[in-house]
Amino acid sequence: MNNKIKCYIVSGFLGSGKTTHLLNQTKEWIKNGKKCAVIVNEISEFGVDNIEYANNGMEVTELFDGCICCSMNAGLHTAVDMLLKDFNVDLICIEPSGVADIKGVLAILKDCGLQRDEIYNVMIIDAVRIGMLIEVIGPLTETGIQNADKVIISKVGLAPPEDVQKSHDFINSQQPGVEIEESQVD
Amino acid sequence: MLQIDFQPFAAIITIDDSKDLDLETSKKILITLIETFADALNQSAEKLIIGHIKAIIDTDKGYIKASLTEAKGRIHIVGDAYEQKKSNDSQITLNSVIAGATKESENEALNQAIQQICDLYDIEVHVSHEHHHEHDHNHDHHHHDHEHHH
Repeated sequence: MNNKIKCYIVSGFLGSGKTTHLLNQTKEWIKNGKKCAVIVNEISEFGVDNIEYANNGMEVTELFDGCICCSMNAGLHTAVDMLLKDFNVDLICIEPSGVADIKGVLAILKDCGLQRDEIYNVMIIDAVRIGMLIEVIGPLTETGIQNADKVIISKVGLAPPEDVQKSHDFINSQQPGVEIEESQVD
Repeated sequence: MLQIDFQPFAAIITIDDSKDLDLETSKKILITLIETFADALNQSAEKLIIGHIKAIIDTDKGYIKASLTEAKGRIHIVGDAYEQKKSNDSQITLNSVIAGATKESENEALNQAIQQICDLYDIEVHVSHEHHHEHDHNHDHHHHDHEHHH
């Protein structure tokens, strides 16, 4: 990830490991002196991940009870505008809800004045549930991969090898050549 | 947002008089809560797709977060002890996103899960969940009191 990046998105379906990944990343960046802001979106009225971020010493903007790609897009716009204009942050980290359409999120960030090359979108694919991701929510998974700068295959230690391979094959079918990383983390 | 019928459900469960609650017991409470909730939903629905069922318990001693993504799957646990006491309250936030379950079955599954933790761990709780329902769950006499404060 280059120094031009102002916004880091961790996308992916529910329960894929977005919070775990973003927590580990932000801890590392903060240790290296980067000032990070975290925006967490959950479609439920009461969040869980925000409490975990806060318990790890992070300031969190919470956008609950809707999805930032559609019903809560104004909330995301306001939060990003505020962080860009009023706070001197190095990086805005966004965890959209697990059912968000990434294209909607990217469109809002563009409206906020961010260029595509100032945004880094990591998509997490859960190897254990690759069958469901393809069969039940295929279009969302496809769009997610097609718009990703990097794809992380999570839970590789828990998934059968054929499902890890299936994950690779599906990712490559949607965006040939995209950077892929395997992760044991879940 | 995804158009398939994944529906959110959430509740906040406050444990009364929780000063003696250690982190190991907190972890067991969370596992029991999630397992009972998932089992009850699984029995009530023909075709259930779990996006996630997750819960976090925040106590004066630390926090534990547990999550489940498959009905009979393993529960993933993370957590940490606090160096300094944060508050005297212990609170659980439960949050699920599921396709194939009705609100009624989710409410019933929550009631079963809460009754189970009250019975097993000898605790009393009060609950508030989406749509601003509140009710009390009292372990004594297995009394399951629904007091709605609108």
